[in-house]
Amino acid sequence: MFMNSSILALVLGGITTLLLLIYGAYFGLKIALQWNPESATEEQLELEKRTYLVSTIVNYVLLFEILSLILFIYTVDDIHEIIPGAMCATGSLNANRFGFPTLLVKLFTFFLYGSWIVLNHIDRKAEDTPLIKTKYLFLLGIIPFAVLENTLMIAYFAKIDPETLVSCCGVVFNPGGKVTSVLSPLPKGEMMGIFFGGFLFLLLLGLAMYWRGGRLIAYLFSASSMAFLVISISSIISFISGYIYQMPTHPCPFDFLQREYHYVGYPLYIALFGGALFGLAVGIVEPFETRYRSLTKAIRDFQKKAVLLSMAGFSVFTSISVWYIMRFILL
Amino acid sequence: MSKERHKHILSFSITSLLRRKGKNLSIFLIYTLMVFLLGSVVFFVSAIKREAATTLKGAPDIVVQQIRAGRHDLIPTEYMEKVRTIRGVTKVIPRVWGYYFDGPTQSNYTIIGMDGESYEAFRDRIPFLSPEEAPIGNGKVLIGKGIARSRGLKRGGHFYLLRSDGGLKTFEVSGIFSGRSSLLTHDLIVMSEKDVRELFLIPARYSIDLAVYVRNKEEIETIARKIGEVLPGTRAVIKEQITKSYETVFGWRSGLVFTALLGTVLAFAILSWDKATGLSADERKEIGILKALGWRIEDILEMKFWEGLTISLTAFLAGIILAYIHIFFFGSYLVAPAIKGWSVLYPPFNLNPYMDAGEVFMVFFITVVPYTVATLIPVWRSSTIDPDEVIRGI
Repeated sequence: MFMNSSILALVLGGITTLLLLIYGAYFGLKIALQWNPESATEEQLELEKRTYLVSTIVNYVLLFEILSLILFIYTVDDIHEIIPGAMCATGSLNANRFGFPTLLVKLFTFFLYGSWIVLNHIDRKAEDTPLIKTKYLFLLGIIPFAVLENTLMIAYFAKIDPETLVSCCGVVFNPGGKVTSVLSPLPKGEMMGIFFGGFLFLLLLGLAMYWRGGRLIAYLFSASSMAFLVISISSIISFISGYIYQMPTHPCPFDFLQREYHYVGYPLYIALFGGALFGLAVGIVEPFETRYRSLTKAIRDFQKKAVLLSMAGFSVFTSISVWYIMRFILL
Repeated sequence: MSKERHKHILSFSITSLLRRKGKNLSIFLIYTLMVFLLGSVVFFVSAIKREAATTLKGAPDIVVQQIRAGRHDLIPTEYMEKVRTIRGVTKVIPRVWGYYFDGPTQSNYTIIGMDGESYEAFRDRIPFLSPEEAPIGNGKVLIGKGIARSRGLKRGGHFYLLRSDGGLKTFEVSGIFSGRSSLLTHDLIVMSEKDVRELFLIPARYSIDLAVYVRNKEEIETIARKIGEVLPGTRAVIKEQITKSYETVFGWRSGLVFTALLGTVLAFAILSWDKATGLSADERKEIGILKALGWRIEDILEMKFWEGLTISLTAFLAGIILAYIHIFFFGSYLVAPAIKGWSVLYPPFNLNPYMDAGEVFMVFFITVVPYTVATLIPVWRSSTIDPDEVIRGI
């Protein structure tokens, strides 16, 4: 099963990134343990230089992670042709019990790397870099997830059996299917209400955050944007995908990544996850706002930007969805 | 202000790349070559898969073959009545066809016997087969481009084939298949069923196999099993099995070639690591001076990032464009022998140009990631050079 060029690319890319990350985390640990801004020794100078190395590494790792996520979706979507019963990525991911966990862990690590980069970005704004220990210990904490992600992915690809019949989107996401009952327990009408209601609520919250700010609003916005991510994915399964396919009986969150639908899934998901990451970032930096004087201004400025970007991402996502709904209703 | 800064660093990086043409050109060329090779493999495989899929679209859902002593044998044509009575079967067509080895040109021809109705069905189910409404029958045949070329035949020309008993049979070319369906028709001769029987001496009561069409695709497997029950001693081959084995075979072959090429990627990564590490005295001096002028580590890193990105993108684009031209306009000479290799008479088929965004992205991933990783640490090292060390010439 490893004899497929995309799978080879993914596995090799994954291992390379993991090694790079471990290399970076090793120096991260050294920095976290030996950091002493008061000292002017050669070791301290060397450590300061190393911080640039580590942050460059993690920046690239995040970039590769995003690329690998896209390639993973593409590959899984592509190999449905050799798996009996599979018509899109759903079927391929169902080929064994590692498929969906791989995707979930990949999404989770995406948020982890994103959060690290946000912390690093903020920290660099201050002369005394007060977050230095926090962020390097956090980096160390990411390693197990990165290892898990790659192990799951390799297990998934290794265990795909082209002889076993799988169930695909038609079964999995239809009312009464296993996934539907968890992700969209509500009927379409109510789901639409929650989706658009949630979107408006998020916009209002975002505006409040932008004009007024405040600890509670920051946390609320952050939590809401993660909740909205879940609501959006449920809505994709519940009604948005149906409008894209112009076929209400086909609730699949992967088919619209294919060429037939002009790859609309990619901008849709990139906007959604981008919005969620910036939303999360607003809350991630919040605890440090008052703790470190040197960071207060940088954090406030950053939060304003992040709120706008988050709202922009969610708006793009919602606009594309609305466009498809309008097209269906008007044409 | 900050946007301006990025722009200036970018323009500085590009001029700095151009200043060191020699060093960067070698990396650029090898980078391009690597993208070209990997891109060629990927394009070729996906194009050939598509071609095969097009071909198989016209194939019957089930093919019933007679097996005797473990070998494929002639099937009694009357069996079709038994198959037809199975519920869900829409059509059964007894087929008469075969392979003909042509001594003088050292190649195999595929010969299919078809009359009015079956030819129309054949033509309708396969896109871009041939626009010609040429008659077949009575020695009149349609031939593929490969045969036309190797025998120097034109429309209206005459040629002969050896009958199975050694006698000669003359044919007249009434049409030549167009190039777009070449994978299917390159070595094909379509003649009337009667002519095929005469050529291969097939008795009238027998056919080569039975093509079965099924109404509901979900039922194919059940029907195939029933055919096995009704007609013991036959074998029912399902279309999906053929599609899947094509998929697997090409996937596997491309993976093999791809694995072999990964060595190239590794060698390239080592080369770019080496180039990035071995900074010349001039380059060290330049970085030192920049830092003395007030450039920060971030700025040097950004400059190197732009340099790397410029090299990556230009080399990637050049490689992909070359691979595209190679596969779709120059007959894929470099990769075809490694991946294709099935029949003899298949040299020059032109694949239909096609580019899948995902595949291009995959090639990007497997070339750009190693390059970036390999140069990351050397780049960081060069960005932390101490200005006073360099300027004092230590």
